[in-house]
Amino acid sequence: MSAPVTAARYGYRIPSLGYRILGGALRLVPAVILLVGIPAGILAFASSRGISLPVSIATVSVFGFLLAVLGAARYIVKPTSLYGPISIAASSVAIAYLVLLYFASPYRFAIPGTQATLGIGFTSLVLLLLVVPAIGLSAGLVTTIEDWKHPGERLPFDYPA
Amino acid sequence: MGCGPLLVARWTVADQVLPRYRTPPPLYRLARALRRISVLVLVIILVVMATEVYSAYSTAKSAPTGSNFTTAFAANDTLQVSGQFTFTDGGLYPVSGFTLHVVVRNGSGVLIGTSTAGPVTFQPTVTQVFPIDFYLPIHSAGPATSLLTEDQTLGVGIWANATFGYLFPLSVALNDTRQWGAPFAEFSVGVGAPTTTGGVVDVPVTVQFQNHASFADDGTLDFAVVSSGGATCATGSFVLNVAPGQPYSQTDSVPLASGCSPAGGTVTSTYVTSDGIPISLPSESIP
Repeated sequence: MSAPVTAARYGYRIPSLGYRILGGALRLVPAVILLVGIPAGILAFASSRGISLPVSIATVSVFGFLLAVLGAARYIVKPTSLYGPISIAASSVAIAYLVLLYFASPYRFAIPGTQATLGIGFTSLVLLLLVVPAIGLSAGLVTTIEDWKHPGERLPFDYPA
Repeated sequence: MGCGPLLVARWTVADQVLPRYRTPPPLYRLARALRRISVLVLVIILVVMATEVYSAYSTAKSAPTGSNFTTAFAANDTLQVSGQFTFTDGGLYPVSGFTLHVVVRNGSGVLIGTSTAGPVTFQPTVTQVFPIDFYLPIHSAGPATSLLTEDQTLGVGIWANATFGYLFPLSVALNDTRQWGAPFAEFSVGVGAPTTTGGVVDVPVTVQFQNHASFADDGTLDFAVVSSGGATCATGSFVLNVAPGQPYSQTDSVPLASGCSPAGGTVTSTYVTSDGIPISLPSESIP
């Protein structure tokens, strides 16, 4: 039986932890803008014009920040066995977020300056969007199993030299 | 499982000569495929959403144009409110299942009529006319009969439902008030004291009202003087051509049937439109 050898000898190179943290932090910036800044900005704009909100700004901010952080964490822990579980966690949070939005439909609000009320249903869209984290969760599960059964098996393909 | 990097793997010397993984292992390929499908689905949804937003913006810009609503008497003791609006869906997706519900309540809040129009599908880039016909029953037994003789503030509730771009059900609810001008406002029929001329007993009947409606009272007003026992003592008719906003006051003497006393009876009136549609007006008691 041969002695264990470092994975680096087989044609791949794992970025250092510091580099991955830097990369994760850089990914965090657009993610926070997309998942927190823009949605919260839209909600704040609507709220300032007297339009009731389907979900609170705090809820959107918490879920958005959680998703952004988990996305960055996935990047950082990708070479480790935590990659699968973090992927599952990120997908689970996304599913919980979408389920919350599902129950916020239909969204009814009074149109400012009129006596009219507008209602918008978006359950179909949420159900379609749920497909994305559902598949992501499956992928995380498969990766978790792979890391458990064959540790390091995916590294040459995730980090080719 | 630990959380440190998986830098250590069990590889044999043979693996260095003949690498174990020329192609990714099945689990890796499965996970990768799932991730790619997930991204693909997300991209497709985002593209569809982008077109939906563009389509919604285009549709919102092409606001419907409505014609003026007209009111007229219709068959079966009803008031018909008619109108239409023209709409061009300027977006990429149809506006399907458009349905309009209207509820009207009188000044006391009593329901006097409901109506539903649709469903209709507005196809993209096609100009369509959506007709609206709304009937208010004004028969004497119903609450809407007051529309004939009483100006009032009507409560109008409008609900519109549609599905935009297959995905988004929309609903608009509007509660508003409308001033209603009665076509026979302050309507009264008075029966005077009978007079005898040359052996014939006549009774003067005076009809007064003001047309506060947006349409003319054009036709005849047939009346009957009925005794307290139910016998018809006299009948007559006035020709009406009362423009909107105009008052009407006319007296006519009609022969009284012999032995018939109008005292304590009633006067029943029926307005017959120029189209021959009979509309029952409230009866009046004779002192």
